[in-house]
Amino acid sequence: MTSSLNLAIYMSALLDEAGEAGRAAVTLEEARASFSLFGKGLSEKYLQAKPLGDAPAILANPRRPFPFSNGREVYLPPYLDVFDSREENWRVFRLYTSVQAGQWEAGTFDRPRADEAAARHGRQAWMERKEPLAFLRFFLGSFPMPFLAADIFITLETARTATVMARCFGGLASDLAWFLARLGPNIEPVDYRSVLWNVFFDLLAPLAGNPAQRGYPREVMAAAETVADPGADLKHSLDATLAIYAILEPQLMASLVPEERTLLEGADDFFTDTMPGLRGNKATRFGREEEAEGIELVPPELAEALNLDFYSYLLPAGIGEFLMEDALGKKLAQDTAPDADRKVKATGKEKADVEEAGVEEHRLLYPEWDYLAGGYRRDWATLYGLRAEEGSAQAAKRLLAEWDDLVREVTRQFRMLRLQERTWRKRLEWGEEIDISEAVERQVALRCGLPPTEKVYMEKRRITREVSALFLLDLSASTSSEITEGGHTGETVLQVLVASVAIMARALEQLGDRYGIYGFSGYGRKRVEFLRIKSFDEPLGDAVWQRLGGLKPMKSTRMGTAVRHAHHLLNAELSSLKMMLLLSDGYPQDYDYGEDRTDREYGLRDTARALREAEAGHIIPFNVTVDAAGHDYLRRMCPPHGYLVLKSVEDLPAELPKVYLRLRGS
Amino acid sequence: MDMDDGTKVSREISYEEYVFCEEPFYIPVGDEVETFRAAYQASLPVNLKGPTGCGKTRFLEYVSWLLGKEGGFNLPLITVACHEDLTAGDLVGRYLLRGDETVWVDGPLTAAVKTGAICYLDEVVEARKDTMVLIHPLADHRRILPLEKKGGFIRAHPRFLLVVSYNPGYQSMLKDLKISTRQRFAAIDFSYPDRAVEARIIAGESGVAEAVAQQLALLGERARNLGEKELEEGPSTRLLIYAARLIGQGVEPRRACETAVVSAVSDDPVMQQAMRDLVAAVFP
Repeated sequence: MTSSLNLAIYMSALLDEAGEAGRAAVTLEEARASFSLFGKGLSEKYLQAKPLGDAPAILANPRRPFPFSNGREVYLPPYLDVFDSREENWRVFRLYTSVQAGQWEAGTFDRPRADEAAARHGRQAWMERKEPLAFLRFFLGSFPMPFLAADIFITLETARTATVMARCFGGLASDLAWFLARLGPNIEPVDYRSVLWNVFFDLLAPLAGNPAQRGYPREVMAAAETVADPGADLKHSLDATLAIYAILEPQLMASLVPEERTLLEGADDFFTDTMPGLRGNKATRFGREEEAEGIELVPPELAEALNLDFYSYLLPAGIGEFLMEDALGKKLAQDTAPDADRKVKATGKEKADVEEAGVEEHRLLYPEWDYLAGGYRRDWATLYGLRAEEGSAQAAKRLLAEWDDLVREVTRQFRMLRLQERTWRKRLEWGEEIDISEAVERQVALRCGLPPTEKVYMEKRRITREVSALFLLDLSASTSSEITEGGHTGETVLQVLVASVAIMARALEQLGDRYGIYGFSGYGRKRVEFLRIKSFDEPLGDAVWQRLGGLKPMKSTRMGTAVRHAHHLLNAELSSLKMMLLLSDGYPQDYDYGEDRTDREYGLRDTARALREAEAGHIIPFNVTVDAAGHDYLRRMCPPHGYLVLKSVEDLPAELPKVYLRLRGS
Repeated sequence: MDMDDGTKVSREISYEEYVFCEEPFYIPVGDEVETFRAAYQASLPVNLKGPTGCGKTRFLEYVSWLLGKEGGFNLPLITVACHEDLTAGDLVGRYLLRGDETVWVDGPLTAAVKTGAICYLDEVVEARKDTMVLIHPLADHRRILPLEKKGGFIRAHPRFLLVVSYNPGYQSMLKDLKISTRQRFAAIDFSYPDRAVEARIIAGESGVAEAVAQQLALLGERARNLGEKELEEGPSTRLLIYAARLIGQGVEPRRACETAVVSAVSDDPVMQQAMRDLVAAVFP
């Protein structure tokens, strides 16, 4: 039994499948990006917005007023159309995000320190896990009936969190009162979950302005009410969980029929899957009528654990931070050792190792940023430096010919720029130096009774710049897709990419900047392919045109590794201004780029980290994408002025020179 | 200048006249005032590092007033906003043609060196590195300013102090101070004040009620969490004060924040929406 509104929220996604989205509806798809950011604003943590259906049932179900975050994700309705106005539906999203993000604010993920716990209780493994819920999983999983303990705890902790947030945020308090007034009233306490529902509402009664309506044992509220007090912390919720569990468990045992027990046992997987050594044993507990006596209703060590000091759960982070010698680090080190060429260094220093003449030039190991572990995976990706295969130089030049007007214009523009950078600006009304010839002219004019010019100054405003630019082409399989409209219909994305860098190459020859052209693709972390098309020292000759003509769409997009290698190449350049222009057609993606191949997060975070490393190395990275949906992920990968999303692939050849000049400060 | 009816009109004043007679509003966050005083007394040039709108300029106005008051003299503050085209002539001075003759006109730096003022080079990394080399002899034990075009130099007035500022956050990649320039300055780090202090500053600057100032400070604190990748820089104390002033003028708080904070810090619709929701979470 639950509130009809709550049920409607959980059911609205299903209802949506039957019909069109209403005008007032809000979808997770449209709200996801901004609520992930909003959550970060509230909690300092980037919390991924996920649909309610993705949450384990123990964290989000229609029997509770709010979902419960695991510390890394916030769970939101995939579609919401339960209120008449869009603002109200949006308000529910905001409230859901606030209450879940508020768990960080309220200290839900605090835990005792591992060494103290180990010293006093011999429990350490769960303390060291780099997972926000690790301690709570241990704690709740240690109860004989973990699902009941979790239901109690989550109800109390959500009430505490909501109270903490409402005290701090006036707007949130009004959102909460508005929502609770519609979510209630209290429901008939037919089972322990409806009791907990009512406890939640009664704890928040002062906020919602509703009088408390009990309908459950007085001792339950006596144990629970401290969580709503100012200054209540996680220990209050855990203490209250212990007390309420002791009241509700006997009642539940008495009322459960075998089918319900089977159903509820499933919920315990949440605790036992990742915590195999837990004391809690549901089989023993459920079978206690037939089995042993003397099983503790509440394990005494849990109460003892609450005597320890709790600390904030800190996410390790920071540029240059590497995994410490913990379990994860050792595991990763073992995983990488066998296949990697140990002769090459992970620092990015090249070691000539030309085994397959003509193609492979070197092999390097690069680290990768694991945002879940909060550190780098050492020597994780193997990069193969290859010389690009040669094709027809004529094919590349033909591509260029199709953009003839643009080539001429850009080349002229760059040539002019070069001239401007080497000359004084004269005839200025204000400047550093007096231009003697203009000053003489002025004097002559004065003596002849003519109006004198005031433009007698000159200034050298710019000096010649030393610039190195590296163009990095995404050569993934998706670049084989064809353009379907416009003047270049039928050409592939790759052809336009090649034309764009070819135009830039022609123009840069005029300007005199140093530049290199490289491409990347690969398949899996053990083979990231980095193709040399033109190195910085190579002239724009036939060999380069042949390599441009021989480029083909390849495989995946392990972007972070490619960016790191480009960074390494630019590091060797002595120019004062170094730029890395990444031309891509989609988000970072590879089959093993993260635990789950469908999850973009790992690749995004790794690439973002690699770009930040480049920035820290005084390199300006800039990402130009022809993926119209690029805003969604580039805003998280790059600084706001560090990327450009083109509406049409065809715009790239014209836009790239503009981007280049802007970055160059010309 | 005050008019008869009490309104003010603008008036051109010389560098030397820019002196603070009244105490500028400033709430110290740490020991920055004591540190600066010590640097001034030791004639050490100072580098103020910190994000935009965190109070660097106001701090300098305050210490300029304070040191002048303590010493019993006028200590003008001469500010130069640095930019890419700033030349040595812009700082030191230049010959100008006036009628039949050329006339030397002091630049702001020369004026400060001669009169004993604080010369404040704001956003110093925006200036070209070759221009900044000019200040080297002034920023070490020599304390002299070479006047290349006049074929001489000026020894700095004992009360002269060179101060520069820059924002390390957004200038690290493309522009940075030369090491030889950077290491001539004692550096004081600035950041946004904590919530309680920032609320006092907002209330003091704008005159809004304390509760409103606290809400704005809370908004600023949380909006800055969006920093680094997503938002180049969070809302400054200055923007929060703008919002407070709008509220003080009777603008509804959410609308005031939309105008002074949300739209001011980002053009990205998603970022703006996230900020808007933060505003809604703070203001009922």
